[in-house]
Amino acid sequence: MQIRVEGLSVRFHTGAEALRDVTFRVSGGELVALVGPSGCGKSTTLNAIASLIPPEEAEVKGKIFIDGTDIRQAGGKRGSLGYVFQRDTLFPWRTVLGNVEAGLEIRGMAKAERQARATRLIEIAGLVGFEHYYPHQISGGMRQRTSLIRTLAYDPEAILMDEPFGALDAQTRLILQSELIRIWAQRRKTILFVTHDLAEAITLGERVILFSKRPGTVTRTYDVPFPHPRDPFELRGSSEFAELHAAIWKTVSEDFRAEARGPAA
Amino acid sequence: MRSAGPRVAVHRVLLILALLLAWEAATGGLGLGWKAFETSIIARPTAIAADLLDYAGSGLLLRDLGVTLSSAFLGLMLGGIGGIVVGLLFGYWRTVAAVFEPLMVALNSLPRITVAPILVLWFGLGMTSKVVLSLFTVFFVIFFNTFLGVRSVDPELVKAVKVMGGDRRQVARMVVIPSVCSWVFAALRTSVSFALTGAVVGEFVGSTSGLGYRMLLAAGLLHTERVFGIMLLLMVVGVSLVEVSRRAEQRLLRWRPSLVQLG
Repeated sequence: MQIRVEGLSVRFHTGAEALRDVTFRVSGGELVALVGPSGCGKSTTLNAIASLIPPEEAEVKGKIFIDGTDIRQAGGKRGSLGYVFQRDTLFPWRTVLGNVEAGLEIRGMAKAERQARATRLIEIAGLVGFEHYYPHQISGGMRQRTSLIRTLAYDPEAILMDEPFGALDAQTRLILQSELIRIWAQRRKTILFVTHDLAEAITLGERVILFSKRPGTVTRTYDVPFPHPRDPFELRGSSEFAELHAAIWKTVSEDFRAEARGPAA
Repeated sequence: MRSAGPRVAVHRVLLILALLLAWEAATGGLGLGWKAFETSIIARPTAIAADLLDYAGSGLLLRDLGVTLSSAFLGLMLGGIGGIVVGLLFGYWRTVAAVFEPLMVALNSLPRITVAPILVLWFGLGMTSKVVLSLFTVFFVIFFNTFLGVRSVDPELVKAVKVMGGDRRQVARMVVIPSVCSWVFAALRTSVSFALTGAVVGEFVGSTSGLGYRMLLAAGLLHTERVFGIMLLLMVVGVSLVEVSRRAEQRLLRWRPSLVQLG
């Protein structure tokens, strides 16, 4: 599934301009990381793609194409999109198994089939033995894993991820990053991964899109040449990684300094 | 009761025994020939027990208990259902909530039992007036909890269901109803004791049967043993009902961290 955003601008009715003229594309099966400072409108971009911005909240301009269809005209393309949120949005009253089944339940799949599919994913995610635990009984890392497989369960063609590992400790983060790479390499879903962490963006993305501060807009795009499937633990220690990180960081900090000086400079 | 250590349990039993003995002694019992209170003011425990047996033996106790409990149960059910329905209505339609808010607040600030006399006037001395009073007291508890349950639905969970392709109905089933249930279950204990209070007070005000009626009748005849007996009986009934609802609540809300740990 291909996602193309053209000239997207979002202004909230509260007066805040979140996005200004954002244009980028994510090809089918590509893993793209979107990086920018907090509050730069990254989440707003994902919400716009997922048709989650109600007209009474903000004025949205521009076009969003999914596989060539303008979804803003077509009235959304929910259901074939997955969205993993920053905070895990598990249903607290459902067990791990019940959560993973949720999307399949919405699709009206029969119980036995649903359970079989969820159980398989629980195995892949290393959550065996925790099927009947409630979200509050498992760790943050396990909750985010459950969120991820809940999304994978209904087999969306593209997955939007909004800083899904942001709240986790550094080690758990690296583990989940490698799991994400492994799963992505197997299934080749289109993934748009939002983060404020440049290192995470380079670790995961085949391409990295840089956003400016609010109102967010695309400032630069980088190709990340490391072949997939990558091993985050190894990659992080390599000199190529350090070089690329330093190079991008240099331009990022220049952009920020320029912004800090203000438009007159 | 929450399980405490065996030592605490022993001490609890000893405390109750000590209180009963002191009570018995203070009301002229135990052959001490000392009487701190007239038994027409405070009945003697052994006399209360004898009178309760008498009451039970005549078959009246079971009948009165049945009447009171069915009024309370019907009140709880009807008030609960009404509270949930109106609560959902208010929760979903902001305009309805905004327009009716002052009315609900006014009705809620009215001390519930003050409507008892008018209910007797409207519905007579039979069971209906007790059920309605009980319903009225329960209604507001459940109504406010349902309303808050709808309003405090986590918008992120709603988003999650929508992204997965869910429509309004599925949002209701997967998010709104479980959220409302958690609030309603949490109000179960309060509602149960409110329902019982409503039924008994209704019987005080105007009735021809039930524990409240029997108690008032006994008080008028200075039959102090019976008044105390029924009071103790209501205490036991209240404690059991609250305990049952506490367990039900714990079971239904086992997904909630605080309650599971308290158990």
